[in-house]
Amino acid sequence: MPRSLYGSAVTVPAELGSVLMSLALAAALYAAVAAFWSLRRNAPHLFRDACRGVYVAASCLALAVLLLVLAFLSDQFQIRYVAHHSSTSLPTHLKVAALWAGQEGSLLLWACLQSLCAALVMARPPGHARHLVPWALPFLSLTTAFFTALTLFLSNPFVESRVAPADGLGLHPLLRHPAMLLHPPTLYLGYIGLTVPFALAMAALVGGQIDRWPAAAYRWLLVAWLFLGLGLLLGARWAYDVLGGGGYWAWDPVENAGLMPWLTATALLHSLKMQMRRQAFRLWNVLLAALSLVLVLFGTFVTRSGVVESVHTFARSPLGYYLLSFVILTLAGSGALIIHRRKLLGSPDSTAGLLSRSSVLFLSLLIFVTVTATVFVGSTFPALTRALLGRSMEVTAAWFDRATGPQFAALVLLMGICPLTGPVATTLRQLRRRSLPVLAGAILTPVAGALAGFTRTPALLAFAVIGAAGAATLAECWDVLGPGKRTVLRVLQDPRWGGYLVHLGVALLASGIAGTRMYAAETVAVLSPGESIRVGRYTLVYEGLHSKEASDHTAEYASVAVYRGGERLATLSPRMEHYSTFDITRGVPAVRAGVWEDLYLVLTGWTDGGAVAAFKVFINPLTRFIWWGGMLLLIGGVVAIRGWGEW
Amino acid sequence: MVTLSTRLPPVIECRELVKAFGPRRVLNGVELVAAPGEWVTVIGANGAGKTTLLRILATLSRPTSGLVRILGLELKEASARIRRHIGFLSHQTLLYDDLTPEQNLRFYARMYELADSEERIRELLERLGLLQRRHEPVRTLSKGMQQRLALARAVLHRPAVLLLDEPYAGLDARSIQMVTTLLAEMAEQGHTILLTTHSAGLAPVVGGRVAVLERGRLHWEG
Repeated sequence: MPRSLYGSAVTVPAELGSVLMSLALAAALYAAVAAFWSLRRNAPHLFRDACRGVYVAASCLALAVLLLVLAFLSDQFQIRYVAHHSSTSLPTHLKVAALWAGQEGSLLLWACLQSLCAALVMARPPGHARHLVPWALPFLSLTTAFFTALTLFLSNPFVESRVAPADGLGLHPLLRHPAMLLHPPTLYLGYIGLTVPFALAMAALVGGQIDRWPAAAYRWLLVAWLFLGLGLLLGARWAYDVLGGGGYWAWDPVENAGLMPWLTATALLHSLKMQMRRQAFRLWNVLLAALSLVLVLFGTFVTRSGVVESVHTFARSPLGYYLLSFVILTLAGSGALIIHRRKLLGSPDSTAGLLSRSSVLFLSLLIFVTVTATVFVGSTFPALTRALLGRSMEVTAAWFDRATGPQFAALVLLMGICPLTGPVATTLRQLRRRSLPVLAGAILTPVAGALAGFTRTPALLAFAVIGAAGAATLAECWDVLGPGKRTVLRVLQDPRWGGYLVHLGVALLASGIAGTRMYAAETVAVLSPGESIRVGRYTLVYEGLHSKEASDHTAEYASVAVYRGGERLATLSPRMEHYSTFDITRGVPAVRAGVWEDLYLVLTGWTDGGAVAAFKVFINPLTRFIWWGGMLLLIGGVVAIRGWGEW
Repeated sequence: MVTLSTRLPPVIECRELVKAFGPRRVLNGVELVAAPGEWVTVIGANGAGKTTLLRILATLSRPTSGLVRILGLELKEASARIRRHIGFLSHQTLLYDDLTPEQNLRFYARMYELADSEERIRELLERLGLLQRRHEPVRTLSKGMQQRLALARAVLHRPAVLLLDEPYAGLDARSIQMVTTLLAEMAEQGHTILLTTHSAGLAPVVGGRVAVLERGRLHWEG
C-alpha cells in the first residue's frame, strides 16, 4: 500500500502519467505539423494553434514530472520505477533526485525540459529574429515528440508492478553525492539548450536570412554552454570524491560525450560574435550549431544504448536504434540543408590579414574541431574495432592526454595571442604595446612554477603558455577597468567582462590540469597498525580499522594519521561501504585538500580484522585550481549572459 | 578476529586470468575471489596449472592477461609492497641445510623484522612438532619434518595471504592433522589461505571452499 505523504494517505494514479505523456505527444506532433502548414499556406492562425500545441505539450509533460515526483515523495512502490530507485528511508531531497536516477525518469525529465524550452522560445521569441521562430518550431516540437515517444513507448516510468513491494531498493549508492544530484539535470539543460541555436540556424537557412540568427541564438547558446560546463564540473567533482581513483577526468566515453558538444559550443560562442560584428564565419556557425546538436544526440545514444562500457551508462536498451536513427536524420537533414543553401554562407569579410583577430579565431576554430574529432575517435574506437574486427581495442587515458594535450595548449596560447591582434590587421606599434604584459606573464609564471617545485620542461612550457594567456586577459581587463576610465558598475555591466572572467578561469583551470596531469604521484601502502609510510612531504601512520553500521549499509573506517615535519596535521579516515541491497562495495576516499596539493587516500582492502590494511595514496598538485578555475569560468558565463543578445 | 563474510572486499581477486607459455594456455580465464579469513583449496592433477596460479599470486610470475588484485591492489602496481604480506610455500623448502630449524627461522624473522621473533619461533616449532629437533641441522631431518619447517617459515611473519603449494606432500596423518589445525586457526584469525593439492582425497580433511583446476579454469564445488 502507498504510504502517507505529509500525514495523508494518497495513491498516485500511474495511468494518469501515461495519459499525460500521450497528450503531450499528440500536442507536440500537432504543433510541428501546424507550424509547417502555417508557413506553407501563410496562415498565421495555424501558427497560433501550433504555439498552443507547444504550451499544451509542455504543461502535460510538466504535470507528468510532478506526478512522478509525487509518487517518489509518497513511496508509491507499486510503480516499478519508484520501487527500483527509492525507499522509505531515503531523505526527501534524494527522493526528488531519484527522479533522474534511471533511464525512464531521466528521459521523461529530458522530454519535459525540451518542451519547456520550446515553450519559452514561443513565449519570448528573439526580437532580432521573430520571423525565424515559425521555422524553428517544427524542429523543436519534433524533438519534444521524439523524446516523449521514446519515454512513453520504450521507457515508461509509470509502469506498475502486479504486487507492490513493502519497500523500494533505494537510490544507487554512487548517486548519493551532492554533485550527482545536480549533474544530470544541468547536463540535460545544456544539451536541450543547444537545440535552440540549431533550430534558429536551420530556420535561417530555410528562410534565407542568414545574419539574424546569431544575435537571437547567442544568449541561448551561452546558457546551454553554461549548464553544460556546470554539468561537466559537477561530474568531475563527483568522480574525484566518489570513484576513488584519485582523478577527476578519466576520458570515459560518457564524460567525453558531454565534453564534445561543450567544445563545439565554445567554438560557436566565439564565431557567432564574429558574424554579429562582421558577417564573418557564416558557414562555420551553421556547421558548429549542427555539429553541437549532433554530438548531443550522439552522446545520448552512447549513454543509453549500452554501446560503450562506462561507469555512467544506463543498462542496454532498444533505445539505441531509435537514438542512432535520430542522430543520422539530424545529421543528414542539416547537412543537406547546408549544402542546398551554401551560397548564403559565403563571408564578405575576406580582407583580414594573417595576423588579425579573425585569423587567430579561425585557427582556434580549427583546433576546437580537431580536438573534438580526436576525442570522438578515441571514444568510439573500442566500439568501432569491436564492430569491424570482432575484438575491442581500448584507447587509454594516456593516449587522450598525449593526443589532446598539445591541442588544448595551442588553444590557450591562441587565447594569449588574440588580444595582441587587431580586428582585421595588427600594426607593429599595437603589437609592441600589447606584447609587454604577455611576455611578462610568459616569463614570470614559469619562474613562479619553478620556485614552487614544478621544474620539468613540459610543465615550464605549459606555465609559460598559461602565463601569457592569463596576462593577456588581465591586460584587457586593465584596458576596461583602468584608472579614470569607467566606474566599476559600468564595467560589470560590460559583457566583455564576462569573457575576461571566463578566460581567467580557463587559465586557472589549465594550471590545475597541467599540475595534476604532469605531477600527480601515486603509490600503494600495505600497513599494519603503527606502521608508517613516507609519501612526498607526508608521513602516514596507520592506526587501525573500525566498523560502523548505518541504516542501509555497513562501513569499515581506516584511521590514518598524517604528519609533516613531525607535526600531526590531520587524521584521514578512508572507508569502504557495503550496501547489501545492491551487493555493492565502494571505497570512499579521504582527502586533505590544500591550495598547492591534495593528499588523497583510498582504502582498498584489509585482512585479519585490520591487522593489515592496503591503501592507495595520491598526491594531486594544483587540484584546487581546477575547481576555482571552473567556478570562475562559470561566473564569467553568468556575467556574460547579462549583456549579450536577446532571448 | 574476522568472521567470514562476502560483504568484505576480497583479499584475493582474479578475473579472466590467463597465463600462456607460447601457444599453450596453462590458465585460461581463472575466476577466483577469496574474502578475509577464507580458506580455498584448489585441487588439480599434475600439470593442471596449480603452481603457475600460486606463483602469479605470489608475484613471482606475471599473468599474460586478466586482472589480479591482492588486498584490492593490482599486482602489477603493488607487487613490491604486497610481497611482505604474502607467505608462500613452494616445492622448494627455501631452507638452509646446514643451519638448524631455529637458526633458519631466526634468519627469516630478522628479514621480516619480527618484533616477537623468539616467542613466535618457539610457538611454531612446538605447534609443528619440531621443538625436540630444533638444534639439529636441517639436512638430518626427515622429508616430512622439512616440509613442516618450510610451512613454519611461510607463516612465521603472520602473512595476510598464505599461498601453499602442496603443503601436505610427504606428511603422515598426524602431521597432516597438525598442519590443518594450525591453518584453520590462522583462517579463523582472518588470514586468507589458498592451498593446492593434487589429491582429491585430502579435500574433506583440509576444509574451506574447494575448486578443481581443469583445462586452465577453476570449477567450484558445492
